[in-house]
Amino acid sequence: MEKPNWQRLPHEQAAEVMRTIGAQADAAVFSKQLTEVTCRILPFYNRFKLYRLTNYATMPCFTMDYLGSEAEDKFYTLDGLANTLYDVNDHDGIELSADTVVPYIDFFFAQVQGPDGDIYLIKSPEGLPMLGSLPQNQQDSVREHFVPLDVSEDPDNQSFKIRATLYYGGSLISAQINVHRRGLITIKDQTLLLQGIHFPQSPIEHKYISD
Amino acid sequence: MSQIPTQNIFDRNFKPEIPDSDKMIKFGLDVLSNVPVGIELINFIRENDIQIRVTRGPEETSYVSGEKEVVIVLKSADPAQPSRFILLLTGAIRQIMQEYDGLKQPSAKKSDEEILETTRVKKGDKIAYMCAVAYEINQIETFKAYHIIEELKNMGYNNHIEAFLSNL
Repeated sequence: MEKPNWQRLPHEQAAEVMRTIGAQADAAVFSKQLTEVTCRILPFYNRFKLYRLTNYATMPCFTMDYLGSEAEDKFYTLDGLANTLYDVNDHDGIELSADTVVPYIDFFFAQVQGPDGDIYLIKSPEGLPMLGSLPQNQQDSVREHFVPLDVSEDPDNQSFKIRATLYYGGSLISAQINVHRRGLITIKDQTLLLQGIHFPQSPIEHKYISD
Repeated sequence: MSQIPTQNIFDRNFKPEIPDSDKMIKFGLDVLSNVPVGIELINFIRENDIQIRVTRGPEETSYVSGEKEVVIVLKSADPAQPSRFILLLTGAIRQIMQEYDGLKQPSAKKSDEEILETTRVKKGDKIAYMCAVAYEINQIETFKAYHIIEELKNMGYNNHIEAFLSNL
């Protein structure tokens, strides 16, 4: 998987970002001297970028991620709620395309957890580096039951239908993900493919936003 | 069978209520004031004028944001229930107390081994305080309904509390 391209902000610009974030109600507190601000472009947003504040005053380092637009002095704390992403989508005027819908789903699932943990979009069985840690019969089952990613456009509903395999709560699930052009996600037709899969760590090598 | 509960977590209006921060902190400190280890923590924050802030984020955590301030981050999608908040509060206060007790954050200039060792000691010390508070609160009949020992186990500290209890 390609590593995300994080850019470190110059000191003055970083201070301004921290000032804007710090002025929000219930904002996390960051020391200007001991905090690094990095940002990266997300292919599906027009004006908003992903910002990461890393506080080196604590060990291990404390990080918080934000979606923000410096030009508009507007930052949203990524707090694990889908609702927050929908607010950003509205503010940004997102218009997903066939090229950006899959990166958007990856990002969405990296942010929004289910009660049983993270949800991962599995693009290919061989993209599971931990596959080798499973017993041979489970590896064979994963390959056999895997449903390949299929993206189709639904112009009538201004949305995309993505048939895919998801990993969630120790199970591989086949599902249809409906993504509206404005980012609203619904999942239907969930079918259990395989259960009892427990990877020691993340089932994919890198989360979308990790570096 | 695992099903992704999409009706809830992907809903446009899913935003669990988190009680007022000041009320949560007051509640936590009130409970802590009933047990010896809790009183030690409360005396520390009063004597040193320590501020406690509560905010929300993707993961539950706490960090020392300055000499006189500690921040508790609650998980937005699943806000801490009372017993968990008491434990998070205990851990957060002990975290800043460590700085005053000489158990300071390791400098980034130290070797990886030294940083790892200091971090391990600090974490062990923080968990020990959480175990002690959980044990003491659980001894009080009126607080038994909080099931605070169970909550500590739910936080992943099952072995720690078992070891703590077996050493009493």
